Amino acid sequence: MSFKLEIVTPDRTVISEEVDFLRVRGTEGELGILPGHAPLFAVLEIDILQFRRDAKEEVVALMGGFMEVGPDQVSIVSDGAERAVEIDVLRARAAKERAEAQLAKVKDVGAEVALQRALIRLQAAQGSRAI
Amino acid sequence: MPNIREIRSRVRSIKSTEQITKAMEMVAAAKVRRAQERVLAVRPYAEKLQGIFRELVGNLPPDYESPLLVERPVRKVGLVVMSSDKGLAGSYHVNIVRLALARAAEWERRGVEVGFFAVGSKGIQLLKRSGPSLFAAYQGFGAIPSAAEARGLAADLVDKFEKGEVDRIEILYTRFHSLVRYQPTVADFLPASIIEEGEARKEESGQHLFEPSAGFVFDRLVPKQLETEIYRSLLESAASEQAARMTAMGSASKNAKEMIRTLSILYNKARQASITREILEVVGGAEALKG
Repeated sequence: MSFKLEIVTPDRTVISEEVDFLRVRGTEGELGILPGHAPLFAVLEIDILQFRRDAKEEVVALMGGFMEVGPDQVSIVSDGAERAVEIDVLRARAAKERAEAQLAKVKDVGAEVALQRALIRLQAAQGSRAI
Repeated sequence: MPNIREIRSRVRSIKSTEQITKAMEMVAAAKVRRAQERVLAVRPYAEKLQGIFRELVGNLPPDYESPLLVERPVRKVGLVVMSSDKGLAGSYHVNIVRLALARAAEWERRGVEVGFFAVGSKGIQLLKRSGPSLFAAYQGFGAIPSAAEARGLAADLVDKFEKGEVDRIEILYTRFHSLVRYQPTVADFLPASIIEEGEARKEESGQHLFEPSAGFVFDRLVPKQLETEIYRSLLESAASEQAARMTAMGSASKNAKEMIRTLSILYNKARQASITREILEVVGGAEALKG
Protein backbone atom coordinates (compact mmCIF):
# COMPACT_ATOMS: atom_id res chain seq x y z
CA MET A 1 0.00 0.00 0.00
CA SER A 2 1.24 3.41 -0.88
CA PHE A 3 -0.07 6.83 -1.82
CA LYS A 4 1.09 9.61 -4.06
CA LEU A 5 2.96 12.51 -2.52
CA GLU A 6 3.14 15.74 -4.41
CA ILE A 7 5.03 18.80 -3.23
CA VAL A 8 4.65 21.87 -5.43
CA THR A 9 6.31 25.27 -5.03
CA PRO A 10 6.07 28.41 -7.17
CA ASP A 11 9.38 27.44 -8.79
CA ARG A 12 8.85 23.79 -9.55
CA THR A 13 7.31 20.48 -8.59
CA VAL A 14 9.77 19.21 -6.01
CA ILE A 15 8.37 15.76 -5.43
CA SER A 16 5.81 13.66 -7.24
CA GLU A 17 6.13 10.04 -6.28
CA GLU A 18 4.58 7.08 -4.49
CA VAL A 19 5.40 6.84 -0.80
CA ASP A 20 4.46 4.52 2.08
CA PHE A 21 4.64 6.93 4.96
CA LEU A 22 4.87 10.68 5.47
CA ARG A 23 5.68 12.77 8.52
CA VAL A 24 5.18 16.55 8.64
CA ARG A 25 4.77 19.18 11.30
CA GLY A 26 1.40 20.90 11.48
CA THR A 27 0.63 23.89 13.64
CA GLU A 28 -0.58 21.55 16.40
CA GLY A 29 2.25 19.08 16.25
CA GLU A 30 3.54 16.20 14.20
CA LEU A 31 1.33 14.42 11.73
CA GLY A 32 2.05 10.96 10.46
CA ILE A 33 0.23 9.97 7.28
CA LEU A 34 -0.21 6.35 6.27
CA PRO A 35 -2.20 5.06 3.29
CA GLY A 36 -5.93 5.29 3.89
CA HIS A 37 -5.71 8.35 6.12
CA ALA A 38 -8.95 10.30 6.61
CA PRO A 39 -9.34 13.38 4.37
CA LEU A 40 -7.61 16.32 6.01
CA PHE A 41 -6.59 19.91 5.46
CA ALA A 42 -3.65 21.18 7.44
CA VAL A 43 -1.45 24.23 7.76
CA LEU A 44 2.21 23.19 7.87
CA GLU A 45 5.10 24.77 9.72
CA ILE A 46 8.62 25.47 8.54
CA ASP A 47 10.22 22.16 9.42
CA ILE A 48 11.68 19.02 7.99
CA LEU A 49 9.39 16.57 6.26
CA GLN A 50 10.20 12.90 6.10
CA PHE A 51 8.78 10.25 3.85
CA ARG A 52 9.47 6.60 3.38
CA ARG A 53 9.33 4.40 0.34
CA ASP A 54 10.33 0.72 0.48
CA ALA A 55 12.10 1.22 3.83
CA LYS A 56 14.14 4.04 2.28
CA GLU A 57 13.73 7.29 4.10
CA GLU A 58 14.17 10.75 2.64
CA VAL A 59 14.25 14.19 4.20
CA VAL A 60 12.93 17.42 2.73
CA ALA A 61 13.32 20.94 4.11
CA LEU A 62 9.82 22.38 3.88
CA MET A 63 9.17 26.12 4.14
CA GLY A 64 5.67 25.83 5.54
CA GLY A 65 2.55 25.56 3.42
CA PHE A 66 -0.71 23.67 3.13
CA MET A 67 -1.47 20.02 2.93
CA GLU A 68 -4.49 18.25 1.59
CA VAL A 69 -4.84 14.58 2.32
CA GLY A 70 -7.13 12.91 -0.18
CA PRO A 71 -8.16 9.27 -0.71
CA ASP A 72 -4.95 8.17 -2.42
CA GLN A 73 -2.94 11.34 -2.72
CA VAL A 74 -1.32 13.93 -0.49
CA SER A 75 -0.76 17.36 -1.98
CA ILE A 76 1.45 19.93 -0.35
CA VAL A 77 1.78 23.47 -1.66
CA SER A 78 4.63 25.40 -0.16
CA ASP A 79 6.67 28.57 -0.64
CA GLY A 80 9.73 26.40 -0.94
CA ALA A 81 10.94 22.87 -0.50
CA GLU A 82 14.29 21.22 -1.07
CA ARG A 83 15.33 17.61 -0.93
CA ALA A 84 18.16 17.09 1.51
CA VAL A 85 20.55 16.22 -1.29
CA GLU A 86 19.81 19.48 -3.09
CA ILE A 87 20.59 21.70 -0.13
CA ASP A 88 23.59 23.97 -0.40
CA VAL A 89 25.01 23.63 3.11
CA LEU A 90 27.47 26.49 2.73
CA ARG A 91 24.76 28.84 1.61
CA ALA A 92 22.45 27.77 4.40
CA ARG A 93 25.21 28.26 6.95
CA ALA A 94 25.94 31.73 5.58
CA ALA A 95 22.22 32.57 5.70
CA LYS A 96 22.09 31.37 9.31
CA GLU A 97 25.00 33.59 10.31
CA ARG A 98 23.52 36.56 8.49
CA ALA A 99 20.17 36.08 10.21
CA GLU A 100 21.81 35.67 13.60
CA ALA A 101 23.85 38.84 13.15
CA GLN A 102 20.69 40.68 12.17
CA LEU A 103 18.81 39.34 15.18
CA ALA A 104 21.64 40.34 17.51
CA LYS A 105 20.98 43.94 16.48
CA VAL A 106 17.19 44.11 16.34
CA LYS A 107 14.27 41.75 16.77
CA ASP A 108 13.04 41.36 13.26
CA VAL A 109 10.35 38.94 12.09
CA GLY A 110 11.91 38.60 8.65
CA ALA A 111 15.27 37.65 10.11
CA GLU A 112 13.63 35.20 12.48
CA VAL A 113 11.94 33.43 9.59
CA ALA A 114 15.21 33.47 7.64
CA LEU A 115 17.02 31.94 10.59
CA GLN A 116 14.37 29.27 10.95
CA ARG A 117 14.61 28.42 7.27
CA ALA A 118 18.39 28.17 7.43
CA LEU A 119 18.25 25.95 10.51
CA ILE A 120 15.76 23.61 8.90
CA ARG A 121 17.88 23.40 5.78
CA LEU A 122 20.93 22.48 7.81
CA GLN A 123 18.98 19.99 9.85
CA ALA A 124 17.59 18.37 6.71
CA ALA A 125 21.02 18.20 5.11
CA GLN A 126 22.41 16.56 8.22
CA GLY A 127 19.46 14.21 8.50
CA SER A 128 20.14 12.87 5.06
CA ARG A 129 23.72 12.12 5.98
CA ALA A 130 22.74 10.31 9.19
CA ILE A 131 20.49 7.98 7.23
CA MET B 1 15.22 62.63 -59.15
CA PRO B 2 15.79 62.73 -55.35
CA ASN B 3 18.94 64.20 -54.00
CA ILE B 4 21.77 61.69 -53.50
CA ARG B 5 22.86 63.17 -50.22
CA GLU B 6 19.30 63.10 -48.89
CA ILE B 7 18.96 59.44 -49.72
CA ARG B 8 22.26 58.65 -48.13
CA SER B 9 21.31 60.31 -44.87
CA ARG B 10 17.94 58.55 -44.81
CA VAL B 11 19.62 55.19 -45.29
CA ARG B 12 21.98 56.00 -42.47
CA SER B 13 19.14 56.91 -40.11
CA ILE B 14 17.14 53.80 -40.99
CA LYS B 15 20.21 51.68 -40.44
CA SER B 16 20.69 53.02 -36.94
CA THR B 17 17.00 52.45 -36.19
CA GLU B 18 17.37 48.93 -37.45
CA GLN B 19 20.25 48.36 -35.09
CA ILE B 20 18.10 49.45 -32.19
CA THR B 21 15.10 47.35 -33.15
CA LYS B 22 17.37 44.35 -33.68
CA ALA B 23 18.93 44.78 -30.26
CA MET B 24 15.49 45.16 -28.68
CA GLU B 25 14.32 42.04 -30.44
CA MET B 26 17.24 40.10 -29.04
CA VAL B 27 16.71 41.43 -25.52
CA ALA B 28 13.01 40.59 -25.70
CA ALA B 29 13.84 37.09 -26.93
CA ALA B 30 16.06 36.50 -23.91
CA LYS B 31 13.48 37.94 -21.54
CA VAL B 32 10.60 36.02 -23.04
CA ARG B 33 12.48 32.81 -22.44
CA ARG B 34 12.96 33.61 -18.76
CA ALA B 35 9.38 34.81 -18.37
CA GLN B 36 8.09 31.69 -20.07
CA GLU B 37 10.06 29.49 -17.68
CA ARG B 38 8.53 31.32 -14.73
CA VAL B 39 5.02 30.95 -16.14
CA LEU B 40 5.44 27.24 -16.76
CA ALA B 41 6.90 26.77 -13.28
CA VAL B 42 4.18 28.64 -11.45
CA ARG B 43 1.20 27.13 -13.26
CA PRO B 44 1.18 23.72 -11.53
CA TYR B 45 1.54 25.46 -8.18
CA ALA B 46 -1.30 27.86 -8.89
CA GLU B 47 -3.51 25.03 -10.12
CA LYS B 48 -2.79 22.86 -7.11
CA LEU B 49 -3.46 25.73 -4.76
CA GLN B 50 -6.71 26.47 -6.50
CA GLY B 51 -7.64 22.80 -6.34
CA ILE B 52 -7.11 22.75 -2.58
CA PHE B 53 -8.97 26.02 -2.28
CA ARG B 54 -12.01 24.68 -4.12
CA GLU B 55 -12.01 21.53 -2.09
CA LEU B 56 -11.74 23.58 1.06
CA VAL B 57 -14.58 25.95 0.15
CA GLY B 58 -16.77 22.94 -0.52
CA ASN B 59 -15.94 21.46 2.86
CA LEU B 60 -16.23 24.48 5.08
CA PRO B 61 -18.45 24.04 8.11
CA PRO B 62 -21.84 25.62 7.40
CA ASP B 63 -21.41 28.19 10.15
CA TYR B 64 -18.09 29.43 8.84
CA GLU B 65 -18.07 32.89 7.34
CA SER B 66 -15.33 34.92 5.72
CA PRO B 67 -15.63 38.49 4.46
CA LEU B 68 -13.79 37.42 1.31
CA LEU B 69 -16.47 34.89 0.41
CA VAL B 70 -19.48 37.15 0.80
CA GLU B 71 -21.24 38.00 -2.43
CA ARG B 72 -22.62 41.48 -1.96
CA PRO B 73 -25.06 43.10 -4.34
CA VAL B 74 -22.78 44.52 -7.03
CA ARG B 75 -22.83 48.30 -7.16
CA LYS B 76 -19.18 48.93 -7.88
CA VAL B 77 -16.81 46.77 -9.87
CA GLY B 78 -13.05 47.09 -9.99
CA LEU B 79 -11.19 45.88 -13.05
CA VAL B 80 -7.50 45.13 -12.57
CA VAL B 81 -5.88 45.86 -15.92
CA MET B 82 -2.39 44.44 -16.32
CA SER B 83 -0.15 46.22 -18.79
CA SER B 84 3.40 47.42 -18.18
CA ASP B 85 5.65 50.46 -18.07
CA LYS B 86 7.43 49.90 -21.36
CA GLY B 87 6.14 50.54 -24.84
CA LEU B 88 7.24 49.31 -28.26
CA ALA B 89 5.38 46.06 -27.83
CA GLY B 90 3.11 46.24 -30.84
CA SER B 91 -0.57 46.11 -29.98
CA TYR B 92 -0.01 44.48 -26.58
CA HIS B 93 -1.13 47.42 -24.45
CA VAL B 94 -3.90 48.49 -26.78
CA ASN B 95 -5.39 45.00 -26.83
CA ILE B 96 -5.67 44.62 -23.08
CA VAL B 97 -7.05 48.16 -22.74
CA ARG B 98 -9.59 47.47 -25.47
CA LEU B 99 -10.79 44.40 -23.56
CA ALA B 100 -10.92 46.47 -20.37
CA LEU B 101 -13.09 49.10 -22.02
CA ALA B 102 -15.41 46.46 -23.49
CA ARG B 103 -15.75 44.81 -20.09
CA ALA B 104 -16.37 48.16 -18.43
CA ALA B 105 -19.07 48.98 -20.97
CA GLU B 106 -20.74 45.65 -20.25
CA TRP B 107 -20.94 46.41 -16.52
CA GLU B 108 -22.11 49.94 -17.14
CA ARG B 109 -24.96 48.69 -19.30
CA ARG B 110 -26.13 46.77 -16.24
CA GLY B 111 -26.06 50.01 -14.27
CA VAL B 112 -22.95 49.15 -12.27
CA GLU B 113 -20.25 51.68 -11.55
CA VAL B 114 -16.87 50.63 -12.91
CA GLY B 115 -13.35 51.71 -12.09
CA PHE B 116 -9.90 50.52 -13.06
CA PHE B 117 -6.94 49.34 -11.05
CA ALA B 118 -4.33 49.95 -13.70
CA VAL B 119 -0.98 48.20 -13.55
CA GLY B 120 1.79 49.67 -15.71
CA SER B 121 2.18 53.24 -16.93
CA LYS B 122 1.21 52.43 -20.52
CA GLY B 123 -2.14 51.10 -19.40
CA ILE B 124 -2.57 53.99 -16.99
CA GLN B 125 -2.06 56.52 -19.80
CA LEU B 126 -4.58 54.84 -22.06
CA LEU B 127 -7.18 54.25 -19.34
CA LYS B 128 -6.95 57.78 -17.95
CA ARG B 129 -8.44 59.11 -21.17
CA SER B 130 -11.41 56.74 -21.01
CA GLY B 131 -14.77 57.20 -19.32
CA PRO B 132 -14.59 55.03 -16.17
CA SER B 133 -12.56 56.35 -13.27
CA LEU B 134 -9.14 55.17 -12.23
CA PHE B 135 -9.39 53.73 -8.69
CA ALA B 136 -5.68 53.15 -8.36
CA ALA B 137 -2.54 53.05 -10.45
CA TYR B 138 0.46 50.81 -9.94
CA GLN B 139 3.76 51.09 -11.74
CA GLY B 140 7.41 50.25 -11.42
CA PHE B 141 6.97 46.48 -11.52
CA GLY B 142 9.94 44.58 -12.93
CA ALA B 143 10.07 43.17 -16.45
CA ILE B 144 9.46 39.84 -14.74
CA PRO B 145 7.35 40.71 -11.70
CA SER B 146 8.40 39.27 -8.36
CA ALA B 147 6.28 37.38 -5.83
CA ALA B 148 6.70 40.31 -3.43
CA GLU B 149 5.23 42.75 -5.96
CA ALA B 150 2.30 40.40 -6.47
CA ARG B 151 1.81 40.11 -2.71
CA GLY B 152 1.63 43.89 -2.33
CA LEU B 153 -0.88 44.27 -5.13
CA ALA B 154 -3.05 41.41 -3.87
CA ALA B 155 -3.05 42.79 -0.31
CA ASP B 156 -4.11 46.19 -1.60
CA LEU B 157 -6.96 44.71 -3.64
CA VAL B 158 -8.16 42.56 -0.74
CA ASP B 159 -8.09 45.61 1.51
CA LYS B 160 -10.23 47.63 -0.91
CA PHE B 161 -12.69 44.77 -1.20
CA GLU B 162 -12.95 44.29 2.55
CA LYS B 163 -13.51 47.99 3.10
CA GLY B 164 -16.40 47.83 0.67
CA GLU B 165 -14.86 50.23 -1.84
CA VAL B 166 -15.71 47.68 -4.52
CA ASP B 167 -18.14 44.76 -4.44
CA ARG B 168 -16.43 42.70 -7.06
CA ILE B 169 -12.97 42.55 -8.62
CA GLU B 170 -11.96 41.05 -11.93
CA ILE B 171 -8.49 40.62 -13.34
CA LEU B 172 -7.76 41.41 -16.97
CA TYR B 173 -4.46 39.97 -18.08
CA THR B 174 -2.88 38.59 -21.21
CA ARG B 175 -2.74 34.82 -21.07
CA PHE B 176 0.41 33.39 -22.55
CA HIS B 177 -0.07 30.39 -24.83
CA SER B 178 3.04 30.50 -26.96
CA LEU B 179 5.48 32.93 -28.52
CA VAL B 180 2.97 33.73 -31.23
CA ARG B 181 -0.26 33.32 -29.29
CA TYR B 182 -1.31 35.35 -26.28
CA GLN B 183 -4.78 36.40 -25.42
CA PRO B 184 -6.33 39.13 -23.29
CA THR B 185 -8.42 37.31 -20.69
CA VAL B 186 -10.89 38.15 -17.92
CA ALA B 187 -10.74 36.22 -14.65
CA ASP B 188 -12.81 36.51 -11.47
CA PHE B 189 -10.89 37.53 -8.39
CA LEU B 190 -13.11 38.60 -5.51
CA PRO B 191 -15.34 37.58 -3.83
CA ALA B 192 -13.30 34.41 -3.66
CA SER B 193 -16.34 32.16 -3.76
CA ILE B 194 -16.93 32.87 -7.44
CA ILE B 195 -13.58 31.33 -8.30
CA GLU B 196 -14.94 27.86 -7.73
CA GLU B 197 -17.85 28.11 -10.19
CA GLY B 198 -20.02 25.65 -8.30
CA GLU B 199 -17.51 22.87 -8.69
CA ALA B 200 -17.04 22.36 -4.99
CA ARG B 201 -18.07 18.92 -3.91
CA LYS B 202 -20.69 19.56 -1.30
CA GLU B 203 -21.48 15.90 -0.75
CA GLU B 204 -18.19 15.40 1.04
CA SER B 205 -19.05 18.13 3.49
CA GLY B 206 -18.14 17.38 7.05
CA GLN B 207 -15.91 14.45 6.17
CA HIS B 208 -12.71 16.42 6.08
CA LEU B 209 -10.67 16.98 9.18
CA PHE B 210 -8.99 20.31 9.74
CA GLU B 211 -5.69 20.86 11.45
CA PRO B 212 -6.02 22.93 13.57
CA SER B 213 -9.44 24.28 12.45
CA ALA B 214 -11.35 25.17 9.29
CA GLY B 215 -11.16 28.88 10.02
CA PHE B 216 -7.44 28.78 10.67
CA VAL B 217 -6.66 26.88 7.49
CA PHE B 218 -8.97 29.04 5.44
CA ASP B 219 -7.63 32.34 6.79
CA ARG B 220 -4.14 31.37 5.73
CA LEU B 221 -4.98 29.70 2.46
CA VAL B 222 -7.14 32.44 0.95
CA PRO B 223 -4.54 35.23 0.95
CA LYS B 224 -2.04 32.78 -0.50
CA GLN B 225 -4.47 31.71 -3.19
CA LEU B 226 -5.33 35.30 -4.14
CA GLU B 227 -1.71 36.35 -4.15
CA THR B 228 -0.79 33.42 -6.35
CA GLU B 229 -3.57 34.27 -8.82
CA ILE B 230 -2.18 37.80 -9.08
CA TYR B 231 1.36 36.50 -9.39
CA ARG B 232 0.44 34.07 -12.13
CA SER B 233 -1.52 36.69 -14.06
CA LEU B 234 1.37 39.16 -13.79
CA LEU B 235 3.82 36.56 -15.04
CA GLU B 236 1.56 35.51 -17.90
CA SER B 237 1.18 39.16 -18.90
CA ALA B 238 4.93 39.74 -18.67
CA ALA B 239 5.68 36.75 -20.89
CA SER B 240 3.05 37.89 -23.40
CA GLU B 241 4.46 41.40 -23.37
CA GLN B 242 7.97 40.22 -24.15
CA ALA B 243 6.66 37.93 -26.87
CA ALA B 244 4.68 40.82 -28.36
CA ARG B 245 7.74 43.07 -28.21
CA MET B 246 9.89 40.44 -29.85
CA THR B 247 7.41 40.08 -32.71
CA ALA B 248 6.96 43.84 -33.08
CA MET B 249 10.70 44.49 -33.11
CA GLY B 250 11.24 41.58 -35.48
CA SER B 251 8.88 43.02 -38.05
CA ALA B 252 10.30 46.52 -37.49
CA SER B 253 13.76 45.19 -38.32
CA LYS B 254 12.37 43.46 -41.37
CA ASN B 255 10.67 46.64 -42.54
CA ALA B 256 13.87 48.58 -42.01
CA LYS B 257 15.76 46.12 -44.19
CA GLU B 258 13.13 46.42 -46.89
CA MET B 259 13.31 50.22 -46.80
CA ILE B 260 17.08 50.18 -46.99
CA ARG B 261 16.87 47.93 -50.02
CA THR B 262 14.46 50.19 -51.88
CA LEU B 263 16.41 53.27 -50.96
CA SER B 264 19.71 51.82 -52.14
CA ILE B 265 18.17 51.02 -55.51
CA LEU B 266 16.94 54.57 -55.66
CA TYR B 267 20.36 55.78 -54.61
CA ASN B 268 22.11 53.79 -57.32
CA LYS B 269 19.71 55.10 -59.94
CA ALA B 270 20.27 58.67 -58.82
CA ARG B 271 24.01 58.17 -58.82
CA GLN B 272 23.88 56.61 -62.29
CA ALA B 273 21.81 59.53 -63.52
CA SER B 274 24.22 62.10 -62.20
CA ILE B 275 27.18 60.31 -63.80
CA THR B 276 25.36 60.14 -67.12
CA ARG B 277 24.58 63.82 -66.86
CA GLU B 278 28.21 64.67 -66.20
CA ILE B 279 29.39 62.61 -69.16
CA LEU B 280 26.87 64.34 -71.37
CA GLU B 281 28.11 67.69 -70.17
CA VAL B 282 31.72 66.79 -70.85
CA VAL B 283 30.87 65.42 -74.28
CA GLY B 284 28.70 68.44 -75.00
CA GLY B 285 31.52 70.79 -73.94
CA ALA B 286 34.06 69.01 -76.13
CA GLU B 287 31.70 69.13 -79.13
CA ALA B 288 31.26 72.87 -78.62
CA LEU B 289 35.03 73.48 -78.52
CA LYS B 290 35.49 71.51 -81.75
CA GLY B 291 32.83 73.56 -83.49
